[in-house]
Amino acid sequence: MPTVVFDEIDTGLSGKAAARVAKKIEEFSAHAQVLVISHLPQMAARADTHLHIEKAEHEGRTLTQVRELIGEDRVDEIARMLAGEQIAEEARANARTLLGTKVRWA
Amino acid sequence: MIRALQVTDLATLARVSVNWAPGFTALTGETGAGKSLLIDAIGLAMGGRADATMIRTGAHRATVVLEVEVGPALAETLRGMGFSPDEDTLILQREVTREGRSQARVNGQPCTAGQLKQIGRLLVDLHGQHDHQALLDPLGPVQFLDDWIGEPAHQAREAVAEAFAHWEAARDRLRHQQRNERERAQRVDLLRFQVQEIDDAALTVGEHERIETLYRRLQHAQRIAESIQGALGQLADDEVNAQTSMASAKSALESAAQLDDTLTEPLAMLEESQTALREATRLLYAYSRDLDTDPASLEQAQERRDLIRNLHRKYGETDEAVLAYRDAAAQELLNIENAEADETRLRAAEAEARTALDQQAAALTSIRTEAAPRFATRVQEQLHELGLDRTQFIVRVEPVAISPTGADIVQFDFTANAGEEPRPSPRSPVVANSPASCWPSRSPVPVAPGCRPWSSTKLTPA
Repeated sequence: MPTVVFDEIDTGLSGKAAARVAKKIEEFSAHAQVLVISHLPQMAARADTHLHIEKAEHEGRTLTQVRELIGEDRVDEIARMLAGEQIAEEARANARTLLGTKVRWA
Repeated sequence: MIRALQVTDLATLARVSVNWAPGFTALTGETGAGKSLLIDAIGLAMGGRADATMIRTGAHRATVVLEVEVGPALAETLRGMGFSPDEDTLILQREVTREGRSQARVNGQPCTAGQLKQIGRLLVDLHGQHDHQALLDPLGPVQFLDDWIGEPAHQAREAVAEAFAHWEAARDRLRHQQRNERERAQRVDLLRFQVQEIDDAALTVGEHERIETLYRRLQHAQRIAESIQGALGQLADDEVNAQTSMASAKSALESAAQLDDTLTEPLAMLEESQTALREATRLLYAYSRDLDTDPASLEQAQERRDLIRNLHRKYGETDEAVLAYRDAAAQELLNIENAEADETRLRAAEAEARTALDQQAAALTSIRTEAAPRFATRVQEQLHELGLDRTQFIVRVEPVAISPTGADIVQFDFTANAGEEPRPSPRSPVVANSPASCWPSRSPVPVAPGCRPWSSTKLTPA
């Protein structure tokens, strides 16, 4: 199984177009391991696995951490991508709709 | 498939370990959080450029370890390259030190960054947001088309590349031969002249010495003649001469010897002297008769002597050396004539290689021409599925000067808007921000504009 990395290839796409590209990538992931860096919730919501990359400060030093998002954490991240920092319940609902069955709860 | 990535002290990645799942993984996070850094880490393990500025402040070295699962086909390829995957696992490791040294390892075995890169190309394919620029590369579209066609196009291309290399070598050999043409022509003239000059002289071994002797004699012929004349006068020609004196002496001694036997011995000696005297006189007469005092003879001998001296000055100090030089020059002439025959042969070889190349290129052209409409249709279908309903995509295969990639230029003509004529892609990078901006070529669906070509090994199921 080969690995394909798409690094922000969806920059500048509309939500509708992004959803279509995401669907293509999802189809494609049956044939390859696909790693997609994206800012678009339509793309991230299609993934089987969602990794979140964040910066944290520890004893005055900046650290990058990577963690897999599951359950509500993933819903929150998709909602944040949809709506920005202030996550309204509406955004959460939209995120749940986008994620469909993709979100793991444990 | 990447199973795991461990990064130590690479920029803000102090100690990060990520396990990767198969299928579709999304990486999200704020701008600047380090998403691309993670991809850079993968790139580093695959032989990407390493420098000391990547190392986390305060650390001495940055380390990246990538654990990759490989299938039997890829394992076979890697074995062919001299690496043996452990079961189905390959560990790629890269370390960069503060001093700027970088160390690469495959399964713990040291290797070069170039080798890591070579392996990496087979394992991971990176697509960035500037990939559509591949379309601006004149060779981009032809590569997409060939990769989509797959094996038949790759085989035909390999054959063209091989035929091209063969033809290029033949052409270079011919050019080299022709470039030396002037030099060779001058050499031939010189050698012909020299051989002719020596042959015309009809030099024989020992002639140099003989001609020097003859010349000296002719030069002094008059004085020699006078001296001999004088000698002959004393010996025979003058009124009183050696011969008559000796005859008188002998006759007197003969009378005495009849009275005393002891005089027999001196008498015999006198007789011997008389014989010698006669013989010398005879020889001197002959010499005097044959002595050539003609000034024309002297002139002739001088000419010959000068000619032979000139040959010695030019070609060798002895007659043997001059003749040996002549034989060597004649041999060289023969070799050059053979080389001229070589040129005829080289010209024929070049023409033959070119014909073979043209045939291979024509085969590739027909493979491409045949596939182009099917490819265009498949791309268009994909574009339509991506919502670009009005898209027209046309693939044109056109002739171009021959190269190792064939004799075709492939043009992608594209329009996203109804009523617009499809335009060649290099002038309309309109696709850059469309949803079509990237699609892998060897995927079950065709490549769309904006994708970097893949090597055929990439998506053979592992």
